[in-house]
Amino acid sequence: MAILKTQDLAVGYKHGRRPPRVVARDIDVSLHCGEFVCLLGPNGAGKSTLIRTLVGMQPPLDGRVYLMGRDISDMSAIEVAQVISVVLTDRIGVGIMAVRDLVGLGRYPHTDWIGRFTEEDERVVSWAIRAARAEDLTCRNVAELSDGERQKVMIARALAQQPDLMILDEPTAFLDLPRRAEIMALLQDLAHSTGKAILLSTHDLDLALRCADRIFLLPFEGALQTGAPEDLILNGAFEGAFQSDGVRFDADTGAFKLNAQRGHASVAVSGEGRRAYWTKRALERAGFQVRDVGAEWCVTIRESGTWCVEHDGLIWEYDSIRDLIAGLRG
Amino acid sequence: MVGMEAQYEDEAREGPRPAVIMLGLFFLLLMAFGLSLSLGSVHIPLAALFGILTGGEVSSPAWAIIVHTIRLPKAITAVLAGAALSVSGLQMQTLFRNPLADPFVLGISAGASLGVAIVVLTVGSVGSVLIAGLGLMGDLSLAVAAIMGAAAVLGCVLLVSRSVQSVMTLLILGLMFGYATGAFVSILIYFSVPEQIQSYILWTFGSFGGVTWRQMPVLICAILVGLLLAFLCIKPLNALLLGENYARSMGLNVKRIRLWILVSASILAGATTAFCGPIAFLGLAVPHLCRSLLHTSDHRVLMPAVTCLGATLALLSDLIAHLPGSQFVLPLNAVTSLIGAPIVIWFVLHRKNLNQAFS
Repeated sequence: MAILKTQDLAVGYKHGRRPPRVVARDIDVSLHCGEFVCLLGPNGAGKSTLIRTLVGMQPPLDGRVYLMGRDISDMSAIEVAQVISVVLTDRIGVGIMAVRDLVGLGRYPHTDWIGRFTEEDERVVSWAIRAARAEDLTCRNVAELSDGERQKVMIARALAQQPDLMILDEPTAFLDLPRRAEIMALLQDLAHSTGKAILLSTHDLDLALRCADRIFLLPFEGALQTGAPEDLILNGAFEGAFQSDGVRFDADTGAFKLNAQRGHASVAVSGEGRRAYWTKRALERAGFQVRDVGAEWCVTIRESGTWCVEHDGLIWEYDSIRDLIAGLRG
Repeated sequence: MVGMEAQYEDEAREGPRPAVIMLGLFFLLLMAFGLSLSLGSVHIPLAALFGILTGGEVSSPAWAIIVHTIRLPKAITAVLAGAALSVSGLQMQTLFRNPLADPFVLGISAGASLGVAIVVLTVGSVGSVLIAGLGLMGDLSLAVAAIMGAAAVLGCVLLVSRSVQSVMTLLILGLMFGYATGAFVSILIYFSVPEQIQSYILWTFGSFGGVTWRQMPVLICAILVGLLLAFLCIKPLNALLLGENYARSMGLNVKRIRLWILVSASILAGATTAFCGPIAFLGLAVPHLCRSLLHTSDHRVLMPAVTCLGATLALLSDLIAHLPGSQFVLPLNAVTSLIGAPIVIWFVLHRKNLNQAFS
């Protein structure tokens, strides 16, 4: 059975008597045990709105959300809290609090009226801290954590709630690349090892394509598409969702490319390995069209580590990519 | 890495354990209570005091009368008021996630002031009919006026709070209610004679001495109910430290809890203001002092600590206001702020963790 299932869901905002502003509609998705799912889409497509609706922070404009087969609007906050835990983008100003106490707040739906801990609660908190790989932070004060450390602690808190489903809103925002990769790998591992379903929204296309079991792709205007990352690349869904004037999604590499400016010459690069790769990247960056056949210019990478350009029988030689580009432009 | 961890553990355990501090605070409270019965314009030795309180041998009947009719009700009032203001201050600071919030941000004291101002300032112009009417209630009249004023503002705020999403909107509305009622008071003052204005201003100075034994049960009941509600909200208050969205995601019915916290804080602040006047500073400062002393934001620790320290500081402020050994009495509000502000400034500058409390 699906942990979470939506039916004809429409999300957006309603202000007073004005007609509601629908951000995304006709969303039919489901989440299953042990699944690691990334929600991708351009800014303004409604990722955050969808996340906020799924966790019950705002009501749906239309359609239904089912949690473990029950309509979420019929469930009390405490019932929802036992199935879903969240990591939000909200700034947390918890004051003076040790990391372990913050993680312990995750036990909220399981403890008595004053929040007393049983041995079981202590055990779960310790497990959550270990699972989120935050052991070395246990005795630190929350206020003095870095962004990456705080994100780990908030993940530990969400784990301590012992949910079946964790939903995270842009957990990798504000982190540097190694930290982003670390958090994504951690979440992927958690989903597979604990059997929890994990849904997160992110702008980190590359990491999402490498980690996610499934992608929810929310285009700016249009229906949400789901599938394995590779399927969505092959059927052109990514190109459609992220198209804009300045960049395009390159289905060959799974990355964004800046659109080449018109008017620059076409260049062929002959050579192998890392040097050839970065030479092509540099030429694209500089606005040249890199192609293998029929190019006006031909760049050859020499064994000695220099770049040779042949044109109309003349040969120029350059010592660096910078000089090469200057030469081609001149 | 191991060394670093040990260092952090040391930091976390810096200073005595919370239980020791709590015990210390409780003894401090007992001491302050004893002192406030013993010291004043007439000094009553502790031994005699013990005799008077236990109904034993009384060496001077005058002392017994002073203790029974003046100092005991005053001390009890101070304990109740100090605890009430500090607890409701703590609730407001957590609910609004604002270090400058105090029991009066919702305009409760302004409402009470308006009630009192109407009674005191219109007595002359409306005439003796009103006085006669109030006479039925005797010495309760000022308190009743204050309660009605506070309740009116509170009612408005609670009514609005049901439909308001953001707690920040509520804070701004409370402040606006406060300004509006303040404006009414100004108008009333403008059209009053100096004698009336003086008796109104006397009320705004604040005093623990105005509560008689007849009124005491009302005050005790109100504050005990308020404190009980506040202590029942300890766990939700801890969840609210993470913000309303996280609190909701952990299973908290935010709107209902917000209402309970507002009701409890309002009863505490409203009852205190009604019987003692608008007492400044305690509600703002005591929660900060406790966070700093106990190095935690956990309400399970803070709530009892704030209750104890609030009561103690109220007793001490009153003691200082009465300038023991002299016949002079200073306005209570002047004392709480004059003595309290330097203490808080010292804490802010010397214990850096005060800044962390709301980072």
